[in-house]
Amino acid sequence: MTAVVPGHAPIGAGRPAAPRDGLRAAAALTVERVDGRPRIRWTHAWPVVLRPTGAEQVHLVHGAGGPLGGDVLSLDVRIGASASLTVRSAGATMVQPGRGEGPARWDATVAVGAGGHLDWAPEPTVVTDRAEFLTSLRVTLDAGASALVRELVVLGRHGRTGGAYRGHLAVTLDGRPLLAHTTVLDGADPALSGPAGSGGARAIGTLLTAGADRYPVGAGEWPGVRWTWTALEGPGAVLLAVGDPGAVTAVLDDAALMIARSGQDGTDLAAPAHS
Amino acid sequence: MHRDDLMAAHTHAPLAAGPAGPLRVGIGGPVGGGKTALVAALCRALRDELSLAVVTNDIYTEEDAEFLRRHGVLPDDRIRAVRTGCCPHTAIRDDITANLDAVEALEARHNPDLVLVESGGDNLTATFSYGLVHAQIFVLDVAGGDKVPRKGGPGVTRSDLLVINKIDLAPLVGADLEVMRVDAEKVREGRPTVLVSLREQPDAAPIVEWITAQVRARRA
Repeated sequence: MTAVVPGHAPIGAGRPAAPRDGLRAAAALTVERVDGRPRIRWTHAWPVVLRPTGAEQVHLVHGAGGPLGGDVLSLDVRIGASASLTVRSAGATMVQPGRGEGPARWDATVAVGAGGHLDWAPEPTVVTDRAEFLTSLRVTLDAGASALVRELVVLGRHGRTGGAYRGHLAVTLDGRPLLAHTTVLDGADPALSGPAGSGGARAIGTLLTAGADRYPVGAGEWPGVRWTWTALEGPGAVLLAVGDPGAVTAVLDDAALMIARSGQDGTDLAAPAHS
Repeated sequence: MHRDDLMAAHTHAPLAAGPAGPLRVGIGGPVGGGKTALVAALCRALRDELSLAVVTNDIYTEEDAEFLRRHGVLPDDRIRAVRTGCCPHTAIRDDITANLDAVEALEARHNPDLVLVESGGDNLTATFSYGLVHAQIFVLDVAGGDKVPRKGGPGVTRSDLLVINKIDLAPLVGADLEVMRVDAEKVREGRPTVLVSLREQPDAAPIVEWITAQVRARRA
């Protein structure tokens, strides 16, 4: 028998690089109004760890590195009538290749009851070189419900090209589809990262406002980023921003602030064209 | 098991202090810059007017918590130590659960107005998750060299307050305080910076003033 001295050999030395079984975990969370007060209930499913950090706020915490290739992780959220939930994450999501079979998967579904509100804005997702990430967020809004969804995908760490990403964002409002949007990126694919794709940009930001009476319009360009708002076939609009991570973040911050302010004074934003 | 039965295991009711709860302030920065000295100074200055609690982070030990207990800056049970067992920034920025456990235990027991979370000494990129704290202070010292603010990194550029400590050592280590002040101003885009010597100014007055304003803003 060979004694193993901790720290003596590099981690993983001598071990065969066999495919590893990915992690499978499904977490769930419900927020409701009980006697006018919010109540959050949830299940942990490591490594998808949920921590309430406010009366109507929860932070997602990665209880392990990754996600890695082969991981299949999901979250099911239900927001009761007139309740609201703010979802954030503790840190950025670093998607890495690992030794698992197939891509890493992260799927979230959120059902929002009448008059409820979802504010979904996790920290950025970084898809590192050679990693593959398949992700979806499906939001079902009942009549009078609303949502603000913010996502930022970064291809690779600083100075790298990044891996493959396929993200689906689907929203229905009162039974009618409002948005079905898929973003396909691959830093190592010359076509997808070329002029017809991400155009050499490392970051792609999305901001969706759904069920909102008023929303920003237009398009623009700042150093390091270009963006455009698209009105949806229903109450809402989606902002896409493409460029450097810092500049895209600034555009998303600015847009989110504009939306938050309009909720207070209602004067900043354009009225939707279809109303 | 049914979804609702599973969820009965974890139910979150709003804190007694109301949805706002206490202000949580993270204190980070490189090893030896004066984070623990700052925590001690803040406790001495604020403990008579505010209910305080402290969480410290060290890799393997409870050194910083023991320092604070030994100096009697707060009752022992208002100080909790987290042993990260790993790079300190992992425990304050990524998997924040151990720190949240410590903070929530202190909140449940003492209902404090202010919780200080001291990071283990780390590098210029170490920042706190805003799931753990509401505001963060980054502590540098002059002896680390006057080029440090210029180097930037999220700790220097994004912290809510940058403290440059040990200004009394500037002539001894050949550091130019004006260079540090101007560089910090440039990279921080209007966020405040304080130059101080906690040894010569143990009341930490400018930092106390900043933190008091934060507590007041949270209560409002």
